[in-house]
Amino acid sequence: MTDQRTTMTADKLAAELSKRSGADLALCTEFIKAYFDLIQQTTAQRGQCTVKGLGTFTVNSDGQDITFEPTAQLAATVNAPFASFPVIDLYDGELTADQPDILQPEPEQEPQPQSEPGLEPEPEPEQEPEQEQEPEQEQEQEQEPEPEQQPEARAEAIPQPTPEPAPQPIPQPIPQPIVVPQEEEADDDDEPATVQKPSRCKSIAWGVVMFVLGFAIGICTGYLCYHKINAFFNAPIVTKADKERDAQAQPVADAQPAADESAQQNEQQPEVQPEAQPKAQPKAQPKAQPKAQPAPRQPRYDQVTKTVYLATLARKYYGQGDYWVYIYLANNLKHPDRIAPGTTLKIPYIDELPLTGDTDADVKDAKRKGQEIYARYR
Amino acid sequence: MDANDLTSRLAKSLGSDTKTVRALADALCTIIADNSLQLNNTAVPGFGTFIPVKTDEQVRTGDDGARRLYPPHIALQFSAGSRFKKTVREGRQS
Repeated sequence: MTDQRTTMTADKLAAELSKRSGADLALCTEFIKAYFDLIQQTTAQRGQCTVKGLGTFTVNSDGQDITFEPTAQLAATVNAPFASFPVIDLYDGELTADQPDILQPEPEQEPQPQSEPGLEPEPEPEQEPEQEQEPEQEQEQEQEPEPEQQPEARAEAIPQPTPEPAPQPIPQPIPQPIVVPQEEEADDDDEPATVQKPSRCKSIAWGVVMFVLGFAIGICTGYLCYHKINAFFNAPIVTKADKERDAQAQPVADAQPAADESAQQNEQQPEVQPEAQPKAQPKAQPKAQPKAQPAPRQPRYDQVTKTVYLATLARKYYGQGDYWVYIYLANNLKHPDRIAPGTTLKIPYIDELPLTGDTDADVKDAKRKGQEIYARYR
Repeated sequence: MDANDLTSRLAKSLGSDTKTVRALADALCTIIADNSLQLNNTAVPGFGTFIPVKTDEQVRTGDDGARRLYPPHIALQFSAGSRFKKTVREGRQS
């Protein structure tokens, strides 16, 4: 507020005065000067100067400072925007027996229309706004009741003279300057301030519940996604070579039991068909024996971890870290340095590697292949 | 000082009629009030400055322990000018 504050100087004041009053600017300037000079002189001479419509200038007892007390009219004009705001009692806690009026708006005004419906509507609306806006005046009215005003008002309100006796003084509602504003507020909001607390608690509770639900759903989703992804990446990589080898191993495994059966039959019937043996043996044995000898080996797998890399696996299984390229090629991987920990790799047996037997040459060959692999990702 | 006294003295010093002077005085008070309403100072050279000071709405606890919300309020303060103070000082000395 202080930053936006501007000061109206004497020139602007004179111009504004001229504009409002329609007088000459020079006259206004002269008037302002004379007006305040006169106040100065009067204040200096008498120690106090009261100007109607402006206020009272008073010299302090020590004579060093001058205080100003604006008139009630000026103060009211300055505070006009806030005149409609009454002083409001705040009830932070629950209602007690001392505060029943908040939830029961205007219980005293209803019974009156029933007793005298024709007389009351006129005097009451005139008095109520005054009571609300100026509670101090009401208190004064209470202290000094004026019964003459009400009969007059009634006499004006009654169009036909009635034979009834003089109007009885209507019991005015006891003004409660503290409670009336709250009733107004309660009417505006349709709920008193204390009633709003449970709804706030309810909304907070709902918020907490929704947060917990969302959190739980998030955890479940994350858990499932994690396991799906993990299962996807940990699935054994089956290459075409593996499929072909499996396909070749299957008939061999099927043929071996057949060969065993035929051998047993031959042993059981050596005497019955002695001539059949030399025919059966050369047919069954040459086919079964060469394929049954290399027993189908189960493919072996191992896992890459944060500390176990391809080279570590190659050193473990082949005794040579440079042979990691063969593990790499067997699993059809991408970048060799970006294999996720937990990935399961198929480890080919050493006799499946294209080794020549010359270790130096094999190592050189493996290094060359490794460089080729890295060259793809540069 | 009486309002009529002030008006007549001003009219005499200005060479104008009292009606005009009264209208000017009323307009001047209205201007100061309107200016203060906008929280702007009104400075009169040599006399002083009218300073509106706004107090925001606040909750006060009364003697009975009840808490009440008070609306905003603008207090019109006055800071006397040096010439005004000097005039007052000289007046007291004399």
